[in-house]
Amino acid sequence: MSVTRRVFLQRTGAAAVITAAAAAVPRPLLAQLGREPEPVPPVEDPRLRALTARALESARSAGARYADVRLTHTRTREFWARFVHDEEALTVGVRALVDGYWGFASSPVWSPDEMARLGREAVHHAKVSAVGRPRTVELAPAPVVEDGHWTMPVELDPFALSPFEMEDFLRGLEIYAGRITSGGVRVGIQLNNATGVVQEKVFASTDGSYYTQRTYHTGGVFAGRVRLVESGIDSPFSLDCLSFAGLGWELYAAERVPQVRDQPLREVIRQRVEETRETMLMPVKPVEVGRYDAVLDAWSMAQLIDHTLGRATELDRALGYEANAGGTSYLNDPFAMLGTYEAGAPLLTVTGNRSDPGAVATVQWDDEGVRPDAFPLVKDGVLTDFQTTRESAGWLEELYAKTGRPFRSHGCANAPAAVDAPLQHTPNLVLASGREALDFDALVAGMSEGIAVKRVGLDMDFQNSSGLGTGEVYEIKRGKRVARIASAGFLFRATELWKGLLDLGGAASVLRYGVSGSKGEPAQHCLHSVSAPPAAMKQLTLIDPLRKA
Amino acid sequence: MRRRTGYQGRLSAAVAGILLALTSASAVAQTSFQWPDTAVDVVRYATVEQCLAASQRAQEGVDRRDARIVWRDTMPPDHQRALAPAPAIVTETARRCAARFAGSTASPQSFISLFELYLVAGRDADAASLLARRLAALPDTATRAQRTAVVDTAIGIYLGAQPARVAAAEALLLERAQSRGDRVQSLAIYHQLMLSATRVGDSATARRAAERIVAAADSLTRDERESDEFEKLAGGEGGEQLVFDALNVLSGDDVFLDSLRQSTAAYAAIKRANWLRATKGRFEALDYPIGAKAPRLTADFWFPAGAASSPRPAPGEISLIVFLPAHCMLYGSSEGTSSFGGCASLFAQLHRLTERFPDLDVTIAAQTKGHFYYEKPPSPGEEAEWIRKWMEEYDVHGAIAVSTTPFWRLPSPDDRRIDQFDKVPNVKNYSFKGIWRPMSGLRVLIDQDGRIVAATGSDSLYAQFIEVLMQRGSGGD
Amino acid sequence: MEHSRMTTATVNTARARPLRLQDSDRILSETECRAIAERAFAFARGGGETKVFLSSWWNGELRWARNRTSLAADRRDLRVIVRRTVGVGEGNVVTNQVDDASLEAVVRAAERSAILSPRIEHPLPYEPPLPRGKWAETAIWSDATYDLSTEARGEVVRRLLESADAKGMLSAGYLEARAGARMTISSLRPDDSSALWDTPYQKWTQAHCSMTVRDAKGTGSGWAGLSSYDWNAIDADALARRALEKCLASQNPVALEPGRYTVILDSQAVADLMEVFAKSLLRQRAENGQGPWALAQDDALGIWRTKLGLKVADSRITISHDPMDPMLGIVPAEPWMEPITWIDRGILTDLAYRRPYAVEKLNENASGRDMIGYRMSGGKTSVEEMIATTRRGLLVTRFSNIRMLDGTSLVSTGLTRDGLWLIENGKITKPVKNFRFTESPLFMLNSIEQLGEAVPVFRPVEDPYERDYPLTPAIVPTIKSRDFSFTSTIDAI
Repeated sequence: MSVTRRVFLQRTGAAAVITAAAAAVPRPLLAQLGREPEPVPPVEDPRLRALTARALESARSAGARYADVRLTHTRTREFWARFVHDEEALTVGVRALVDGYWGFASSPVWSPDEMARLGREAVHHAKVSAVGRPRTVELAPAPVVEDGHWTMPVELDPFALSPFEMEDFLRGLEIYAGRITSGGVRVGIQLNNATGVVQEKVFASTDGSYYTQRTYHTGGVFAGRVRLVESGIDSPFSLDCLSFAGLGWELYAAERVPQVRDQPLREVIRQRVEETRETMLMPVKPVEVGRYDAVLDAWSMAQLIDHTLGRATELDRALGYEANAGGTSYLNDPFAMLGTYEAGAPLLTVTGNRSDPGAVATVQWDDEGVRPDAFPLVKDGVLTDFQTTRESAGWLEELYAKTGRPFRSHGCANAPAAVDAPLQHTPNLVLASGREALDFDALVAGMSEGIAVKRVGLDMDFQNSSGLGTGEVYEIKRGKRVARIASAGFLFRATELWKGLLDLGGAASVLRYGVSGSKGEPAQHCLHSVSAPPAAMKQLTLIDPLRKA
Repeated sequence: MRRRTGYQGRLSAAVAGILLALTSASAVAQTSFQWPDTAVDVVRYATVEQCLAASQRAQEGVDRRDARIVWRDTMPPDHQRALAPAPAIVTETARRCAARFAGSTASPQSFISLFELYLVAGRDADAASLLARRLAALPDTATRAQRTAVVDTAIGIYLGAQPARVAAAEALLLERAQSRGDRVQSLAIYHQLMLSATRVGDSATARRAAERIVAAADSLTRDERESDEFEKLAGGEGGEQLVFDALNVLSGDDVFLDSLRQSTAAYAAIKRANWLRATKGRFEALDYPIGAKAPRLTADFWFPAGAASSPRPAPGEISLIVFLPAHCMLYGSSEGTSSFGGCASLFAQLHRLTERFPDLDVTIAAQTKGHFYYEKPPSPGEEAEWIRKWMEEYDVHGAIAVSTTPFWRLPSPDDRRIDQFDKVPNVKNYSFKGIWRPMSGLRVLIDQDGRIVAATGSDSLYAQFIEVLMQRGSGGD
Repeated sequence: MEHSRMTTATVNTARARPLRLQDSDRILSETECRAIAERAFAFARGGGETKVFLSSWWNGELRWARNRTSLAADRRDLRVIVRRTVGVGEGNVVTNQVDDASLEAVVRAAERSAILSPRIEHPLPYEPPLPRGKWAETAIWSDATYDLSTEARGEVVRRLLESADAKGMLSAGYLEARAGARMTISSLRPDDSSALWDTPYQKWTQAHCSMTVRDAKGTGSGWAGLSSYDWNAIDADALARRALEKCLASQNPVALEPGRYTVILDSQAVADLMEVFAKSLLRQRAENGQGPWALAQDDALGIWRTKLGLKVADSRITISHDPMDPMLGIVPAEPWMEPITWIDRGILTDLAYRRPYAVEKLNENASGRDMIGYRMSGGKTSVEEMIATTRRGLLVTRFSNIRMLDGTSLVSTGLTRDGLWLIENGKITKPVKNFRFTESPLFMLNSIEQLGEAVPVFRPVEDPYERDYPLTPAIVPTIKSRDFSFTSTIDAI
């Protein structure tokens, strides 16, 4: 019996035994590192290196010019107010490059024999599937990671904390929200859960790189309805500060989370309820179709950046590699457009990174062993770069050389787990804030007539160029939101949209959201963060999206 | 022919199984696997609501353990339970957690939570002074409604606490009554007090609450009595029901029992008078069924088969007719309902009554619904047979009268089955033109002359009625 | 003592070997499923029920773009859910490892979760015998799909690539053969797979082939694709020809004014649009007064009347499914599956529900019914004939990015993609720039002019991680329909 456990029993009596025991969740999964299976060790265990070497040797001796291998151990724990759901998976994937063609093989078995099989399998696939035009792959150079180990720094590891403490926290939020009555409201909570994910990853490549990495993702849902007691009308609400982040339980428990919220969560709930109440009480107007200047909140801006430039600057997409899946890009001639194309107003600067603390795509090394850099995609309105992997950066080698820029991958190789082949996925995106200390309300105050848009949802086309936005739309008159516009949406073209950027909120108004991107066939879903300030935009086309032609 | 393989046997097997499971579960927690230390240090908790959550969790842990050992629904009601102190682990959790929260810092919102937490922690004096401060802190501009809202919340928490703080709640109620809030709602609050007092066996407080109910009801204007709010009282039964309850409390069980000793008619007269007063004559055209002649039961299937050879309720016998509530048979339905607890309590109570009064003539009136669990739709005969088996497993003895429910279907292709329970003769006869709802689980006690004595009431009241009837024999004077 | 027992179990390697999914055995066999379940059962402590949900899958994938393959992959995984129902609670835990130590840990964890379970349920006093039924053996397995080797996939893709390359076009596409197996076994009835709640061993295959052909400048795009459980049913070369033709014919489109147009919807476009319709066919939703199929509240009965029995579509439309239909390939979700007709010559005749609903509300010993695949009636009009009889209209290849905007009318928005042409006076006159539409499939089904032959279509795999069996197959006709609402033009090609 461990010391803590004995103390615990003395303190709380035998009644607590049941609950104490109940917290434990499935345990390890077996790996075969040597001759016999054993519980999966922490990812830093040096013997895992031998396991990866087995895969690489096998691929190399089968004829691979380059190969890499990933092992992932993913644990997911879902917390509800009185309930924990656990899931755990081990997978391994080997990727091999033979004569310019890629093969990949993956499975749920961590053993030397399986490593060897996957290495051979990956090479076999690359060889027999080498059809079509001759293919050359020039992997952008990447410094060898000799023996890297990195753990995402989190304040509160959701897997080390008592699940009961987290449950009490969630239940506490519910009790708090349920007792909000000010302004004559009643609050009902429909969803209240948190999910913690920890993924341990081992990566090794025939270039000699070897690293281990432990990343945390935490997110959740808090949603319900606000009812006005007097009139009986009600409206749904949810919190947008709980989207997935590269954080631990501090996403919930911290007093404030930079770029996510400035106040304790319960205060955010109180304000959100109050905002919902105010919205319900606002006068309602029908849509008057036309073009309006608009103020958009940080969420809407993050969505717009993500769905337009965020996707369009994926180099593989721009070159047609996703043509049969999600689509292509309106930046359809990347080589000619790079460095010259005016993607938006001079105010517009968008960068990619995988290093922002707390962002959900943040890593030390990507799925090819590259240490990602922070890089501008659009600078002062001009398209300056694309999202790349080692292979796709290779397509830009000449261009980089011409402009005197380093030839390297930006480290955007990613996959949900080792069972999935790595693809280029969106890194964290940052829309640079404006110089003045403006926030949403200040931007509204600066607009004499127009619309304000909050919590937008987007339907984009398959070139990420034109879209339909729906969400909460308000009429602005003389610097104030005076009415809610029912059933409103707006149409836009990415090119015009970003050229019409009028003003951006200041650094303090920037908020960061974790969002999911989809890529590939079969589709993979990976998370990344998007940070953006609220902004004012020129001339959005307001419509009633339900209205037929 | 009593079988002892019923739910009790099965439940104890389940309990044994759980104990085994606990043993092995605690073994796993001792392995070297790096699972979190699940001890929670509530002293660090940042908010009052988290403390409440922690003490609720402690209480739920106790309840869960309790549920494995005792099926509360099947136990006789225990007045003392509501007054018993909360489990030590609950009080201790709340006490430790509450230590860091000073009452003065409470926001209006946290006031409610802190007030509750103090009570859970057994710090009643702190709770009272917190409430006083809260009321004092209300701005002068606060409306009466705002003030009463605070008081009503506190009353609700006092009454719902473990143990229930009946005296404290009553003191607040007196104060609140002086502030003359909304009279219709005050009926509900007094009613809650009356029920809570009855629940803990405090008949004096229950009487005082009943007096207030009657007085408040008498003061209502015609508009107030006809308001939706009044209609919605007593869970939709209407305020009349609530006043009737109060009048019956005021009459007192002793008076009822004495009058019943005299005659069923004398007893029924008091009940009728209460009903007339409660309804303010709105239902004067209707006869309240107490004291009325109990209709003869009919059935398509009788168990045992001989049960139908003589009329039921049987002349000369004290009879109990129990209508099987509709929700008992919903288990595994498309609604996903499994409302078993309530029915278990009904059967357990029946079981106790028949143990104590072996001569009580019990008939269970059931209606077919056309389904039973996930099994293919049964014929009425099969369904009746299943109901019989089900009753026997509950160790209920008596006759079972199963009626086939007439139904029609919506036109094809909808084809939904529309049951017409109101056309089942037993249901129709015992609804007495809508005064009673047999399908919600009516238990009708009938004297030796076939007169209805009771249709609602506590277990112990039924037992006392039966004793009186046995002593009195037929007729009375 | 307990501690040492556990430790021993953990290092007891004799039984603990990791499972290998050999190439000859890419998915779990029934014997393996049973063996895993039996081992899990043996670890259970404290009585009650142990239920094991097993699923495993294999994917053989070949992806290409810019006229060369970009990735060839072989991927396998499995998923085991252990559910322990002990006394009054239930716990579920998920893993992808099936060695003894992992299984034991998962069973223990499920037991702990059961003890903490927020649900407290006491045993039923008496349960009638469980309902039983035979699971239909539908056509869902194809050796041709399972045996489509890496080499064979490469060979197919070579032909597809070359066809586009020969015309100087760029193609991108995806060919996938997948197989999966699932089984649910309860410790209470390990040898009985006819109970309602247990899924017998089911193994299935699925093949998908789709390709997009674009010109080098991206001024035209053509697409074709098909899904089937049976690789033999997919004529990849025909798909390649169609995608290429559409690309060649769609270059340099012109912009048209948004508005209402007569449309000839290719069967793929019909299926895309019908997706929201198929998902709306829910009986209990209608009886709660929600969705398109609720009619009105019946105050006398206290229920919602539905549109069952009413005419909701053109009388030429019948939508049905027969689980045994060899062209559909439906993985049974329940026993007792019967052929179902949802819409019979325009009249709404059925809505989806679960088995308990059938028993309770319909008083029938019917199976539940799900919209898990459907066949829509067609006609005899060829696309050429449809074009020839159209004065002015649009020919639509497929729709993309569809989202429902209104749950009652099913009004949805989405885009045309990969081939849109203007028809004038019976002839295709020019390619047209893509449109955003705002339209309801219900409106389309009531504005039909002509119907073509019903054919199988491509069905995208929505979520490759969660789904352990493929989605709803569909056989739909080409439809010519009036007054289809296009609300704005888009730039995307």
